[in-house]
Amino acid sequence: MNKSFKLEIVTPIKTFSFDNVTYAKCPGVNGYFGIMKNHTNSIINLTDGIISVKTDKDEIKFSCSYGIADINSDSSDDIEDKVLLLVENAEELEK
Amino acid sequence: MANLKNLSERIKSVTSIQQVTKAMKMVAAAKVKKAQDKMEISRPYSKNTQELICRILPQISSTDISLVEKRDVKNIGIIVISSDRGFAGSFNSSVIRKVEKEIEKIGKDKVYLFCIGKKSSEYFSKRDFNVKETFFDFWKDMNYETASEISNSFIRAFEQNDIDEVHVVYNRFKTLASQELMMEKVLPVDFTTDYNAKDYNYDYEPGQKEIVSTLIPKHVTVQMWQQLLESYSSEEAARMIAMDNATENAKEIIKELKLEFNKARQAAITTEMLEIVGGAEALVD
Repeated sequence: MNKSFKLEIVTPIKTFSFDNVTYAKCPGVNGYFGIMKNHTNSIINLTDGIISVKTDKDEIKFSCSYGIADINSDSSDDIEDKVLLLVENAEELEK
Repeated sequence: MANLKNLSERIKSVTSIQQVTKAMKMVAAAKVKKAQDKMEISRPYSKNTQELICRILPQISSTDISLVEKRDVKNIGIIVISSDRGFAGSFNSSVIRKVEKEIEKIGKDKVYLFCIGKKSSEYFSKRDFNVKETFFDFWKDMNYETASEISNSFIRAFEQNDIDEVHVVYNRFKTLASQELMMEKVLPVDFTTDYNAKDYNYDYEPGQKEIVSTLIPKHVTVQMWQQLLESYSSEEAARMIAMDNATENAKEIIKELKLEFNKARQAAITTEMLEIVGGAEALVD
């Protein structure tokens, strides 16, 4: 079964998009949380911290300032899961 | 002969002016492109923020959120977006004229101004208007933080009940050759709530109200950012056209001056020849 989902980090000055994300870790207001496929539909406030995105190939980390996560998933598997991270500022960290 | 020298000097100076205007036109053209790219990039963020707000807002009572709440209007805040530099045709004057007209309608002491750009800041400060805050000298390396700074200042004033409504006046970029003068309401925020909230079974963390409360300032800020970019592209486009016209005019003047110069030179030669001929004839006699 396909275990990946789409993820987009959208800022006013840049957009990063990923197609095959298996796991993402984000800084929520109540601590870090992880997102995998079939996460509950949620809207979560983010604070300053590090977003790490694991794709099937590698792991990419971003520093981000406060924002919001919009997680959309569909249990029927017809529509691909989509995670949208609206943050004010995101910068890719060097590995 | 003095006339000839004078003319050639004028031709020289107009030619150098033409070179400057030509260069300014090229620079402006490059800047328009850059600003438009930035505008394009900020669109997804703005679209998604708006969508999210429209999705959540109908589910809660909007009176809880101060930035959406409509109040009796006593005082008004106007954000004036102008530029730091001139040489852009009627770009700044049209904005200033529009704002003055609005102020006349409402009354000078009821309007608080947030001036962006040196031109409007200077104009309104000199004339004793209520200038609440001014922002300038940021266009060159303008970034998103500037937009947050500006929006924070008027959001603060709105939340402290200093002003009950905020409008913005700016030039919207239509085409390279034309700008549209816009006046838009910024606060309180209006949302089209025709969105049907049927199948939205979401978890909210911390809560819907908190999320909307953080989203709305973001929405206002990104709106501000886009308006700044619109105004900046219009400014550079206006400058490009103005400088293009200036180059054309300089060309025209050079042409006229050259004609005059040639005429004067010819006249001088003719006079000289007449003198020689006259002198020679006098000798023969």
